[in-house]
Amino acid sequence: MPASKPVISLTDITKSYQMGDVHFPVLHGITFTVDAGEFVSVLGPSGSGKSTLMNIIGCLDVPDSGTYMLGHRTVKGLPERTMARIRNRDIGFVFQSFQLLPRISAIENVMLPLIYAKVPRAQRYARAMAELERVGLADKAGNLPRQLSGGQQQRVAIARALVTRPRILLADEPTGALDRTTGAQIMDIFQSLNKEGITVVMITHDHKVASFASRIVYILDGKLYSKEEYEALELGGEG
Amino acid sequence: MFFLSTIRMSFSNLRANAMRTFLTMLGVIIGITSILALLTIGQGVTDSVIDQLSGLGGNRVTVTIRNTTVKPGFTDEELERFAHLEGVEGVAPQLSSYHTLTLMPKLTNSKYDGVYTISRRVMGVNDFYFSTYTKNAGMLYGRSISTDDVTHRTNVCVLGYDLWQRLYGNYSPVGEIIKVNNTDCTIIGVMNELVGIDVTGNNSLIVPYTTAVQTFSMGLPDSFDVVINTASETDEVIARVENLCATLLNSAGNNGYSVVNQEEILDMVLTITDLVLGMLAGIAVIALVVGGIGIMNMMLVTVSERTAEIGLRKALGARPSVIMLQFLIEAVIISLFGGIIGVLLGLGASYIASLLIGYTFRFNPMTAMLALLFSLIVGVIFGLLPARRAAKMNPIEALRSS
Repeated sequence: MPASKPVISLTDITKSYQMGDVHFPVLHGITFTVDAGEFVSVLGPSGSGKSTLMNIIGCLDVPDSGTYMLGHRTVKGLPERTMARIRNRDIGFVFQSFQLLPRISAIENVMLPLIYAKVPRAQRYARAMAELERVGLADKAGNLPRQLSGGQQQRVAIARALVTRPRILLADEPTGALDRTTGAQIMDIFQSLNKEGITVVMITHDHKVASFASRIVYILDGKLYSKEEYEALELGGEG
Repeated sequence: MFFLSTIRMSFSNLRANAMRTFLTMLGVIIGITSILALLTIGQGVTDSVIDQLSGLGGNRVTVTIRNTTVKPGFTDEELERFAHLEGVEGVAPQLSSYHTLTLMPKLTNSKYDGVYTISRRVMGVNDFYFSTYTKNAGMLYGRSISTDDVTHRTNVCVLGYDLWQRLYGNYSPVGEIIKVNNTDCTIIGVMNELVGIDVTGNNSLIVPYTTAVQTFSMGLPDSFDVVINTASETDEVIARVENLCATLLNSAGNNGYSVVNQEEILDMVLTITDLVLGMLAGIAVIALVVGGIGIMNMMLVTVSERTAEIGLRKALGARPSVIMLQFLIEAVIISLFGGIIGVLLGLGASYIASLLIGYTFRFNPMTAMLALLFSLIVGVIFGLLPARRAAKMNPIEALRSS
């Protein structure tokens, strides 16, 4: 039963937030694995805890309890600089709102993670350019983000996520700010990246978007469910 | 390399808020400008005073009779005895009082046609006055008062620069006659303009002090300067001077005379100058601190404005120390540029001051370096808190804020 090569392995993860005196449990014992080379969607409505789950997978946050293994490394009690290094080398982030720095050009945005990886300047440029070519934006390298369409900005963000050659691409509602056609183009890119061997984990609330993945994990109120359970609960909740 | 990218990034961030950056920088500029100007002006004035005094060829001691009822003044012979003490370069008595000067109508070069009368200071000095006190200025026309003039009490005079301009404009008056009270004096020379601390000679008519005593009844000098040979031990010479004073003034007792080392006076003056400058510099430092608080304020605003950016950078793998460095560099760029501008303005201000006050402007690279170091420190100190705040920011919260 256990996967042959799990890249992400979550066991009984819990997380809650404290807001003054009020205690908000967000995740109640999440257990699942993602194998190397998989394309997994985490589908859930807003407030389901999927963003918290993504933060934990992305090493932006740590669980209260449970075990998170990234590759064969346990992410627990690591100093912030090590977490930063993992985010830099092992994970590529794609956000709903692109998160490009507005005052620097597309290629400079793509080079940013390489600066933090201390890659020499000459190599930074070549590698960033290669990633922009991969997403078909080599000719827009010198453009500022505001000179690009939403879809182009998201492609720049994907290039930035890939430039340190991470094992995992972690996307949070990557099509949320895009129209359907552009969103589909982004999904095409994800699928072809996945074919090249990159593990993709995508968080979304959209069934259609989620279906681009090879496997869907359903999350509701901080728990994982099977497809049938999820659909029943979702309908029940809405009804 | 990483450092360079960070600096480039900081510049672009600061440029994006050029007005805010400049206003923040202004605080540092004002602080550094005042500090540098004060230090440079203070140093210039101090240097000038020291130059003037060391230009006199050694240390000076002023001998003064306190109780002139016991002894009204020193005679020629007594002054000679002081002059011949071991280690004494010479003595310089100075008499001074106001007298009526009259220019005769026949004088061709005078600016005035009729008999012209003016009241001016007449100074009685010896040749030593010219060879030391006014040595740097030198003579514009003719010659100065010689030993012979002093010995023979000749009726000659030298015009100070301002007095000459007032009476003769641009002509050489050498050889002409000027009446002091009712005595004809031949003008033998004109002094160049004196600059520095003692410029009384500029507006005076200078005569041999023996003539002043005898002909103009200005009384014996009750005070004179002793110039000590540079090669001699000052304290030993002062002891000899005091011994001779005691011998000459034994009836007046210990308090009948005073021997004051000019160096002590100089020290006192410099101490006061330092104190005043120190206080002003203290105020300037306060201005700089206020400038620093301005930087801190701006950086705190910047950090909270750029919360999302900080979150993103962290998500992309920026370590806390890297984030901290970035904001610290921004603060330091503001303060260092403010410092550079301040140094330039401060030097400009002290150069203008040097023209107005009349001391020699000197650029001291140490002072400039010190000012820059100071501004750097201000940037680091006041940039630290905002930079730490940025470094400690939680990436999730930061990303969520967008």
